[in-house]
Amino acid sequence: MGRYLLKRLLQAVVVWWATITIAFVMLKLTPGDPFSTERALSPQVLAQLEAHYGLDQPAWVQYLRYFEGLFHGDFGPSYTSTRSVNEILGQTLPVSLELGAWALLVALAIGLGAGTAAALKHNRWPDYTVMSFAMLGICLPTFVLGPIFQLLFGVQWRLLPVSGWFAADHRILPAITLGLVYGAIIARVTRGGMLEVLSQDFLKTARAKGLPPMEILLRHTLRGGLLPTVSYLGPAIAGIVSGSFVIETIFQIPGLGRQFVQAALNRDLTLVLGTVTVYATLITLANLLVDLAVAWLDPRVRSHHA
Amino acid sequence: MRRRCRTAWCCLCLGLLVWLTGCGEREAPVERAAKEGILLMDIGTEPKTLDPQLATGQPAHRVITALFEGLVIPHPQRDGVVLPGVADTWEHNEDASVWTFHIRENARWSDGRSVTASDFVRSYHRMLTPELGADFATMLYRLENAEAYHRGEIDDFREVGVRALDAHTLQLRLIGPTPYFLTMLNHYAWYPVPVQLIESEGGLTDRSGDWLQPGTIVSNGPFVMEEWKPNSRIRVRKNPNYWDHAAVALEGIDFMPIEDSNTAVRMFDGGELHIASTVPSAVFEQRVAQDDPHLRMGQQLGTYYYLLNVNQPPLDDVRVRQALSLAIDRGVIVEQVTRGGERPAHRFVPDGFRDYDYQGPVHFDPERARALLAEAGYPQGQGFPPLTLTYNTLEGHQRIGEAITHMWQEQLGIRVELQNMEWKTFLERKDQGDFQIGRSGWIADYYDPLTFLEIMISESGNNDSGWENADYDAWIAQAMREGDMAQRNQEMGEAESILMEDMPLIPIYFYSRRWLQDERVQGWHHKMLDNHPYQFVSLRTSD
Repeated sequence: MGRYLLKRLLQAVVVWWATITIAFVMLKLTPGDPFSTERALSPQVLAQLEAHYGLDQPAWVQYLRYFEGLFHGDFGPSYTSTRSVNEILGQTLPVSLELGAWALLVALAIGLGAGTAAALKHNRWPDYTVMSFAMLGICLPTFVLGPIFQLLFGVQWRLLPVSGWFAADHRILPAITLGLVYGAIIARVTRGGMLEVLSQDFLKTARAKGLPPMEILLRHTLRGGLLPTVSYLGPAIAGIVSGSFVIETIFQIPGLGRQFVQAALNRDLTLVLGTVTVYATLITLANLLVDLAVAWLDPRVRSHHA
Repeated sequence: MRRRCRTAWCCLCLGLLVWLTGCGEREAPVERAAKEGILLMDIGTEPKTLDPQLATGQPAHRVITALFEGLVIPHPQRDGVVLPGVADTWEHNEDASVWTFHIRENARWSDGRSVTASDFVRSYHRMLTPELGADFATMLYRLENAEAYHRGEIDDFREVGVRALDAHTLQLRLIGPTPYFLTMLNHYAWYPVPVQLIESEGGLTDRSGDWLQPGTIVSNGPFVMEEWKPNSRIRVRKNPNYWDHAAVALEGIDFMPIEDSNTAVRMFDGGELHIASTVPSAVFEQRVAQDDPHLRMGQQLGTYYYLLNVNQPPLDDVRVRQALSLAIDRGVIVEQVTRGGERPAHRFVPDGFRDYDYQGPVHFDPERARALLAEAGYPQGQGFPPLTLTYNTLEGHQRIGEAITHMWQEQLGIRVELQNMEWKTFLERKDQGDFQIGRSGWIADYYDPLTFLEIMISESGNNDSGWENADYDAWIAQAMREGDMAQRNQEMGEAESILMEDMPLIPIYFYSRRWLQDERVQGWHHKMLDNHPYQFVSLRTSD
């Protein structure tokens, strides 16, 4: 197990280095500079700005300097904000993580519940209803769902705030909007996994022994039936955390997703690299945790790693 | 088990019902805030900085005018008219090239210190220090020797035309007669900044803006900063040290940076904003049809135009440029495409500048357009080389581009390709002259036609057309130093008629301003420059 973890950690380092390097090269190849606006800057102001941020140096010097800073935990200054990248990440990452956590909770609650129910009532009306809604949830993009929720709950009924990120009730609509899509997918994956397990012989045995249905479900079915769901959680977490840009814009949430997209559009190199590093870390971490969870749930995988 | 489940469900539903009905009675934030005297408004995007000397753009402008105050303040209702601000009186010499401002004795910073003439001198010194890299340093080029100092040609700041005659008397020497100088002073580039504080918080040329943090920042406007949550809210509260604080009706303002104007409109509808600062054109139409009493509209000092690269054949032929302009039916564009209250452009400088109100020569005349194109060697568009119209990716620009290229095809028989480009890439292409026809827009920085006309002089960094005209430059140079207003307007008119004759740019329409305003807001009027002195705004509660 220790060796396995070490191997994964080394992999993560390579992933970090590769993503930063690729992002750096891509941004350097993209036309446009962080300081350009519709109103042209005078050449001397532009030169001052470039000197200020070290952009007058050759690209490889900038690259090395960036890594030098990174080793000291310094992501550098943002070119388009007065705040440093460390500050921006420090302020926005917790928000995105919180939003992601709530959304994941919604997704799991809806997905696991609905998926299990559908599997247990296979080919009967609960199954059809759940699967129809799941299909709808997968098809409806968040930029449609978000505004509809805002109009209904915020404008029409005035039950919840339309947007912002201040009090507890500001969390509800964005978490549901972001969570629903993943909930729908989880419902489908869970249903599939459960159906596969339900047809297995050991469950027939359990039923024949006369065990209560709840116990069969909790002790025998779920453990195997949830394997595909747990495996899906890795990409789901990555998607929820990094894909919240649309939600953050619609609901005016000061999270990392907006910074990421804005930074790329603004050619704010250091901020792009900072967000990319954070995302790479989160995704690597999520995948590692999921792999460990799968190993714990599935004896076959565990023995393979040992 | 089953029964317990059902009981749990019932409890849950009941709880939800109680919560929903309870929430239903909750007071709308606009009502609650109105009782507290807090104005809730959106400002568009998150300002990159609130340092008046480094800021650019409207969102920052909206907040800075609450925090800082210049020598004069804009009139709450009338464009191009100023009221006394930090200075209570002023006078100028005969040709308006030397201005003396008397700073009121009771003008104070929020820490209680007096605002003095030397605060202005030191602020302008910082603004013109090349190492600061201030975008709007060029605004201060009106001051004698300011440009030379900023370019590093002279080292002694005492040669620059700003001097504190005593603690409360500020003298500004300008490069020439500037009768419209007071309206220029409304721009935040001319505001004082707390130089002492900036020096202690990172140094004069430090761009990190540590001094702007709540708790640290010192300002001299009607409000002080209480909270700055990036991408969320900037909260300002009444400044007890402001010289006219008794006249300030509002207790505070919550500025919310809301990138998506549709979200801002929904927040307004949900009772979360007193002012939604922009209304998308689709929503605008719908609100006009519904006769929405909250909808406000007025003209804006801005022009939407197509810039032509005169170094690219066939656009090097003035007849071709004229033909392209004459073939555009601008009435159709504003009535059927943009549909947001815009007005067809008849010249480059938008309507709205007092005493500069002549009817421009730009109009729709397809006959003449065809004749000119034939004269240029392309009868019915035959042999006309393929052209490309480039715009930054946005649905609105695309619709306008489609309509106009269709008109060109229809009236002139020529094909123009549309090409969209991501914003920064587009800017770089334009800057390098790597385009043929480029979408452009310009909004006034200050209340004077020069804010438009000066961008087309030969040495302007904003003139990407490659067009140079010595006569045009000469008229503009003369207008910049003209003391007589009537004479000056005439000179600018001469320059503009050269511009419209040579047509390096095709004006299309003048922008409009559309916003939503809650009925509780009092004293908020349409301003073409969108500069609202908040000390004149108040909130009425419904009871």
